[in-house]
Amino acid sequence: MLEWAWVVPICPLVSFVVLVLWGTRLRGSGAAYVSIAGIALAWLLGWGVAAQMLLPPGHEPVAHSYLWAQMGSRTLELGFMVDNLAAAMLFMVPFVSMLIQIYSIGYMHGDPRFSRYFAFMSLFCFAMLLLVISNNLLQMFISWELVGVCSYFLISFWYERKSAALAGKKAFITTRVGDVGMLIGIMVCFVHGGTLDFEKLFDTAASQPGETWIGLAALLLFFGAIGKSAQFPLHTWLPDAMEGPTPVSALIHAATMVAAGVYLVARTFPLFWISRDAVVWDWHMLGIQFTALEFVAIIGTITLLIAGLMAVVQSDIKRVLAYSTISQLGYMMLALGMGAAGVAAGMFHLLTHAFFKAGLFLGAGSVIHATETNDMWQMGGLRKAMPNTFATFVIVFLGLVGIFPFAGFWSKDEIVVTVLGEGRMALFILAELGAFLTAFYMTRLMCLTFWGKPREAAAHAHESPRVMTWPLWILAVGSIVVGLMGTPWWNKAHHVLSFDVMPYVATGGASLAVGAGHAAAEQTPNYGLMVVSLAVALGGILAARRIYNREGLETDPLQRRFGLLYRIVENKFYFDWLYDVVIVKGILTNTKTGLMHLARRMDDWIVDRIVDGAGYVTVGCSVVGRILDDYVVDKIVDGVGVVCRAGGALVNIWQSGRVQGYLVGGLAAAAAALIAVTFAM
Amino acid sequence: MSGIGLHHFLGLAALLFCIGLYAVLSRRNAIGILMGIELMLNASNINLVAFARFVRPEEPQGQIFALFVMGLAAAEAAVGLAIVLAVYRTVKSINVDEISVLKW
Amino acid sequence: MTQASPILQHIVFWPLAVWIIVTAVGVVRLRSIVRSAACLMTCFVGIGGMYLMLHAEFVFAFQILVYVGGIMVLILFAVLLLQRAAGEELRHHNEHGGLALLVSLGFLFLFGKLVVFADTWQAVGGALPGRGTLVWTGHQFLGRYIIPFEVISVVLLVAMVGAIIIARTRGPER
Repeated sequence: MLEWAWVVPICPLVSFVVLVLWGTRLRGSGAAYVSIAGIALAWLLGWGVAAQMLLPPGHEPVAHSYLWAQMGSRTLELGFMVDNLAAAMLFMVPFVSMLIQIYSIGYMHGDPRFSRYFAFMSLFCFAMLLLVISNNLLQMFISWELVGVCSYFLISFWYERKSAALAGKKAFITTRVGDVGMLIGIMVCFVHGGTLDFEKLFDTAASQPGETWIGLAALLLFFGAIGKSAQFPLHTWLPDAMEGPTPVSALIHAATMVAAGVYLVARTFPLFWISRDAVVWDWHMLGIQFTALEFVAIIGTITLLIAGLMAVVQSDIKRVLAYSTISQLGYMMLALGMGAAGVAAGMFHLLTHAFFKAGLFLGAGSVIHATETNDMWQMGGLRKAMPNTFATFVIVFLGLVGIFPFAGFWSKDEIVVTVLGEGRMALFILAELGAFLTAFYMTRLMCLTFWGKPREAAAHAHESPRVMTWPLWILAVGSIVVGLMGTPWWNKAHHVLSFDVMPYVATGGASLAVGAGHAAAEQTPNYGLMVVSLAVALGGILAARRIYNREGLETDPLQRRFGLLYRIVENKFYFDWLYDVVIVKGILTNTKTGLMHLARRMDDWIVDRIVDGAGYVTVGCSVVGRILDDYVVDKIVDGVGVVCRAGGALVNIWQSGRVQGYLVGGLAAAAAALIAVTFAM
Repeated sequence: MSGIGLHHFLGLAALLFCIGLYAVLSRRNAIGILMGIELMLNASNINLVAFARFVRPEEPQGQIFALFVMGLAAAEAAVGLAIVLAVYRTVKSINVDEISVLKW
Repeated sequence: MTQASPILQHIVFWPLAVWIIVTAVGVVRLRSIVRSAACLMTCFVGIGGMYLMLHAEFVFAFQILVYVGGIMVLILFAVLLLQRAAGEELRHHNEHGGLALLVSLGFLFLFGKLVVFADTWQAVGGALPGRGTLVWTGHQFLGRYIIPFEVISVVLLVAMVGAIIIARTRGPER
């Protein structure tokens, strides 16, 4: 089964090709069935691979490569590998994707570009699965870009809306900025490490632990993750990406694509680990220095806080969830930044987050579908009108917030434990603050949406069809199940996902990074911490409940209370404004010096001149041709005519009709002939 | 010295013939052309009689032929002049340059 | 005449020859058609003299009768009838004049080379008596050459009738 792992991405690829060629000819939901067939196959195969890898007795990691290009002593390859990390992703990604696609049958019903949607969905699944099983940086980068492109397509799916088109552009370009760093990082690896294959690269790095390139490469690769996982400061695209259909937001911007950044860090973790003592960034003036690993943790923390704050002030239900996603990704980065112990925690949270965030988004989609609005201030009282949605929403809500025994409690707890374990008190407090905010804004969302008296849009709401509610239930249950994989008493997740440091303490060793193996230390349950986390979460819930669980709430009471602060947060800390003024207006579109203006000028002065020049040359050639024609060709033709006329005129003398002329001619000829004959004799 | 021989008469006749030919080819007046024809006929008559005298004196053909030629010349002159008259009535001219109906 | 001495022959021949040629040239080159006709007449007479030299008395007589008396009269009538139309020729010869001269000279040359100075003819010296007289000619016409004689009569008749038909004025009855 493991040898066939490469088939997993092929299945949705085939669906994609089929849908591109014949999609529009399929009636009704036919396109969806094609796509789901593909992803279902991938799911079954994926679970098979995951089972073989993760269930006892487990399996050694498998990797295969095929030579693509050879440049001197270096090679570029394509290949796949399956280790515990990849297997875990293969367990989650196709399953969640399939559920979301089933949900989409109901959500996208009647859309004129139905088949196109599913074509893109299939293409995305292909790219994401390819990313998961990539065994070298090049292939990962290719699939990285491909998922970015699919994200662009799907965000601006309803491109008639200008805001959607702009959001797609913003997402793609912002992530591109990060990708530049990533590409440079890849080049560093190629130049200094001599290879892009993970296994060989890590071996090379391990054999030269003091080199600076390792940390540099790690940092640069992390830039790519910043872009893709919407970390500070490239987080601005994700809220705007909510313009896309809700299932898209669920799949790409919650469960999978944004998780790719976390996966990248986990995958290339050896580079971070080896360079953990090497200072990579040095601001002497401010006295700040950090390693690549440090950088990851700090960025993660900043992100989780500002995102959490911004989530509090949103009125669009999807935006709350978007900021929540950014915040949770920050948590994952924070975990990874804690070192070898944090990898398992971060990855575990990624898996649980996929389930409950997808569930939250799909639930929100259900609500949006029923009320035809995204604005929470127009909803209310939906727990009675949409019981299924409400029930599942509650489950995943508790999962996100981290209430025992739901998913988030276990995974967030793992992270916090790890932070504390590394002795980072400041970060611990900030993380708990983030947890408080999470509980607060999620409860706010619940109150406004499901409790209270129904406001305008909610009045006529009714439950969504089964094709939409069943995936909700499966996801909700799934989140509980997955969560239970990581309890301290039975930490299967930890076993599976932890980072094996052994090969990197000694030099040499050829085993893949994350795999079978035990973590540095077994965790003993920290009960005190569990209580603290629970208290923080409950505190958030109660606080929000008090503020928002009132009848007839039309505007946010916090707005009155915190005025200026509220406004700053509402304006997203003026980040978008900053980027807009400095980059967009300043560099790109500036009429005097902007790049676009420059391009326009180049076009006018250079390209247009060339084109005009070509035109002039053509005209010139035709003028020369005309002159030739007039003075040479015409003269020749005329000359022929003149010659003919002259000949005719010559002959005309003898064609006078006068007999004497004829006689003279005939006799002259006769005389001449006779004389000639006479002389010849 | 030798007397007048055959070639004298032949030479005379040749000269006369060529003069008549020149007249036929270059005179504009239709009657002038007819006169040239008469000259040519006379020249051939001289030839005939000269040959009759010098080459075959015993045969009568030479002179008889010449007589017939003369008769025919008369007939031809009559018809020719009648034609000139008829043409004159139509074209109002006997300038052969103007009688160029033969051309297309 | 050829029995006479060579000197006498020359004395008779040459003036006569010159006369013929000069009048012939006059016929060709005189502007006035009337004068051309007059020259033609005297030319004919000169040619008749030549016939006498050649022992062809009947031919001489016939020449005078037919040519001078018949054809010349005919031509003179025509000339006088059409005198107004002919007028004076402004240019004597037409545009082919030069070429015509050339052609004539060419033929002259040809005749000279092939005929006059050729060696083919064997001239016999003496003339036979009794040839060329009226009686003899009559005997020929009504004896050996009776059929051509009758034919030419028909020809002359036809010519006469034809000429009348061609030359008569078309009346209003047509």
